[in-house]
Amino acid sequence: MSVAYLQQLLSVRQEKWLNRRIPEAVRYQLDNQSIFILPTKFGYVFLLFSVILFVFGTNYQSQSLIMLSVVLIALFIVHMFASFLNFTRLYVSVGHIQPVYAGTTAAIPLHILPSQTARPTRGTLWVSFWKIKRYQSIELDTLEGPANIRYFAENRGVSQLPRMTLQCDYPLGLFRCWTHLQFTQPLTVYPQPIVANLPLESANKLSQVKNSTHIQGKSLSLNQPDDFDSLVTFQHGDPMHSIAWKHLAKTGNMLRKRFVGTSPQQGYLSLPMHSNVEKGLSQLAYQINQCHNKHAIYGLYLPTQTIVPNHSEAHKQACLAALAAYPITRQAFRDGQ
Amino acid sequence: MDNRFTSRRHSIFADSIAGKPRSAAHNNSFLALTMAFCLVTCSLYSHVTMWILLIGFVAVIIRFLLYLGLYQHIPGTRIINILGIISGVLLVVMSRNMTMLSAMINLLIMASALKIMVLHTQKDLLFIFISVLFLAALGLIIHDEFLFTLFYSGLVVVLLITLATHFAPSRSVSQSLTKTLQLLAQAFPIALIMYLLLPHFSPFWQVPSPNQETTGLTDVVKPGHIADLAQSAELAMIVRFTEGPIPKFHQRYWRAIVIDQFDGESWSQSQLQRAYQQPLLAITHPQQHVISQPYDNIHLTQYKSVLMANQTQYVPTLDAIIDIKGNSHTPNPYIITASNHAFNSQPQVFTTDYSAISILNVNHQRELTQLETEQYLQLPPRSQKLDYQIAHQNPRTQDWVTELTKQNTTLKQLITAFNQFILSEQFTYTLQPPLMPENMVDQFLFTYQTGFCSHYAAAMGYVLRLAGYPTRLVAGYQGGEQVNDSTLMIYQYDAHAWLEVYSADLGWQRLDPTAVIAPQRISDGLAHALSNKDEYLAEESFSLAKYTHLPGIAQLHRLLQQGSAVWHGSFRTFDNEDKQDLIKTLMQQLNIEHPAWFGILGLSLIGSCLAGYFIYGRTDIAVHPDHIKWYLQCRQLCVSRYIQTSAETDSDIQHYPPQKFVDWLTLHGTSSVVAEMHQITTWFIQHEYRATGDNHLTGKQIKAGYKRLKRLAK
Repeated sequence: MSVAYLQQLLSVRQEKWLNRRIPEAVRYQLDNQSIFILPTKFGYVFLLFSVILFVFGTNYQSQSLIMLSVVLIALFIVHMFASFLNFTRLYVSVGHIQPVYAGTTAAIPLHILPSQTARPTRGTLWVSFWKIKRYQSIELDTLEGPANIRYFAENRGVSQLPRMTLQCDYPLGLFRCWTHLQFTQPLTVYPQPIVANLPLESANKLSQVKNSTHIQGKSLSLNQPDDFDSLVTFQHGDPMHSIAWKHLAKTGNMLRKRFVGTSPQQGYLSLPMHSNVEKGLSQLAYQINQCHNKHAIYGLYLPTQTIVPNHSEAHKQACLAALAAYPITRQAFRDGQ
Repeated sequence: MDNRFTSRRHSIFADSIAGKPRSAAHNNSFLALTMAFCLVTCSLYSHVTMWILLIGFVAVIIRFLLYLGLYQHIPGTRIINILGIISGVLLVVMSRNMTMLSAMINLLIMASALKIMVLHTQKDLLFIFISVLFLAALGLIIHDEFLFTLFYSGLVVVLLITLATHFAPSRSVSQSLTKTLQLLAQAFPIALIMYLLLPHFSPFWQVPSPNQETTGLTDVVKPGHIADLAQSAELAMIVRFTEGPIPKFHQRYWRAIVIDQFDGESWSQSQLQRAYQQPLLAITHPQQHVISQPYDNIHLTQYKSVLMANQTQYVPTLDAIIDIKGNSHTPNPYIITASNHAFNSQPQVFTTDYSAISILNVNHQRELTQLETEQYLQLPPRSQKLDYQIAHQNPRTQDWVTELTKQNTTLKQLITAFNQFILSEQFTYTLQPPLMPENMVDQFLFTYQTGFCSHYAAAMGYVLRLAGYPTRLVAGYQGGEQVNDSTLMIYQYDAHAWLEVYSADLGWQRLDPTAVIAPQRISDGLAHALSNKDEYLAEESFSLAKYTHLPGIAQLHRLLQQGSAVWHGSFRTFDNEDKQDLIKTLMQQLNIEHPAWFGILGLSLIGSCLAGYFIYGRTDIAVHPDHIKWYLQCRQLCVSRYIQTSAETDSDIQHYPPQKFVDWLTLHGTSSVVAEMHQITTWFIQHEYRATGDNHLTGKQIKAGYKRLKRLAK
């Protein structure tokens, strides 16, 4: 029974309790159920200070000082109500989250919806995620449109966001209201692209080797020397060697040299069976980008899903999403540990 | 794109909220806090050491430059730490000569000044907030006066605004002010009830005095001293007459100190007078008075005074004092001395209250002992200095008095002769007399012929003693400004000195040479008596009393005086007895018998106050007319029912125009719901955009639609 174990146990119980108390939802109108409120550290100091003033006032028999201390104590009490009322007016939702690659930061659009009461929530809203002590602030009074909350997506997958903690010290910072919200909006994290040279297999070929453990056969290499076509914007996952360095040095814009092959290639990409699944998925992510950029007609073959060859932005997204949704294996879990 | 991101502050992470660095430029809360610090330091400047003031000054300058953006670097933490250690050590060394309060003030000012220099996080801000609030509290102890109380209340409001602007930085200062005042207004009734319910405690432990320097009258009257005092517009005391009308201006002689030792330069108290002020000796001298005036002039007067802290033990009372007692429950510290003036056996380090009874226009009468007669006839010593000098100690005066007594054999004649002399020689009355270092009386009477009340009193006292009449000098106040039917306010510039001369039949008779030369001083006050008006409060540029001739200022001055009188008369002196009385009256009014019920009533009042605020905060003010309200409800219902199947975000849908919303619903909703919503939308559009029908009717229609919709959407 180590301390770590106890902590873990406690944490699990806490999460269970939270799940009961604040069930997951698409949007939240904060209420008595979902709001927690306690004095801040400063609030405690303030209260103690007021009591000290009272002692001073009594010792020096100064009625004005006693009155001041009593007013400060009353202010403390009133502040609790003001904080709470302000926070109950908060009505929040998370919009559609753009998928990101693992190891990058996702921008989570947090919508502060028009308050259902006549008065809006005021003050600074501090946003953080469950057990991550990194805070971002939102000025509720001047906010227009959704606030982009940054969330560092570490691992591939399609999952819910961790509980989002919102807190607010308005109006005088004596009390802090907070809540832990579990939004149901999914976050899709594509595998982090790893440079690889995976073959585009033809469909028949693929059907032959479907059940074998090793994919063989002649591949249509993607790295044929092509003719230079034009400069296009550099995108994540593009090979570094294709960057137009001269252009970058001159203008500061990241551009990539585009080459055109003689004919559009067609075939399937499949998960390399010989290597680690996660690595394979990463390589596939890279290759999907490559194929997309080279205008290849490509499909995706995964043990769980097959996507027929096509070429479009939506197709690319669908392929990457399929990679993201690929079940997380025991092996990956072990590696992750 | 990049710009948009950096300008939006939410792209910045912070590891902790309190430690997140905030921008100093145009940061209103930092500026407000600096201003509050500035104000509190100014109000306490006399208690602060010079070099700490300097640190404060530098800190404020740095902060202002940072605010304006003229300077971008806050001083390094290391420099500030070193500075802090050095100042701390210095302060510890110096604090041995300070009172506890002074040391505390210096420490707090130093600490907040250093913190202001490096202020960039919430932690710093809150630290300075508490320090400055504490300084304001100490200020309230030191300056226990009405105006200062107003000042410090304002300061507390500024401090709270600092917090409000910090915790909602994008709101304007006026919005923060409104919020702060709203919170205070909500807190005030609760505070009042709590104040009434809280028991009144006596001091938990003995506290050291806040001040060291004496203010106001002293027991040594140098000719120039009272003139200095007359430059001060500081409040000395407030008197409320509880029985009898306020005496006429010229009758208001407030006796504080009896002075009977003259050394040729200044008058001071003799050992005899000091002995009289011992409590034990006071009892052995019964007070007797003799009536020297028509009976109509004599009346008893009873009054309550609030005497500002002055560190001395003197208590100004009217004419012949017959009874005085303090308002607190401690043993009466006041005694009436053999010289018939009141004396407090404890130094008045705080504002004190007493009630007294005096008889106007009677003379104090008691047969003088041999010792007393000698003391009251005492002349400057003749033995210590060289012989030829002694002969010349005010030689002209001595010669003149010898001449004078030859012609004027009685006291009355002598007084008349003296008065005639100063009138015929056209003496003048001034607040800025020339220095008279040697043979003061000679120089005053024969060279300069100008001076203040103390000059006249000192000179005449010397003359009378030379002529062989027992004489003593009395210092105190004369006059006082009437604030309302029963209240007087007496300022330091009302300080005055006069004489009392003894005769066997009339006792101690008051003599005021100033009344001869400047009768207006005695009948109307200092401001009217000065021939050169510039002398009046020459060094008090900020005193309102000085500018009463300007329009509006007189009224303002009067208003403040009245506020001050009420404050001193009721609130400041509000003690346990008053509280009990008030509670009793309230209980009678409300028909409550047991005090416990009163407590319960108070607590439930607080509870209902809070519940009231809460309910008020929860109620939605109906901003929309009925039809819009119900239409929005319908939309809300549809959105919450069908958002899951939709790709659009909630806020997108919220912003759809009515027709587009129906289109969206058509894609997701069931046909019956769509049909209902379509109908509702049609009503809504017809009413809202084609202005047909009235709000209420359409509202009812849509409400009915909403109910049907709710059933369908289940």
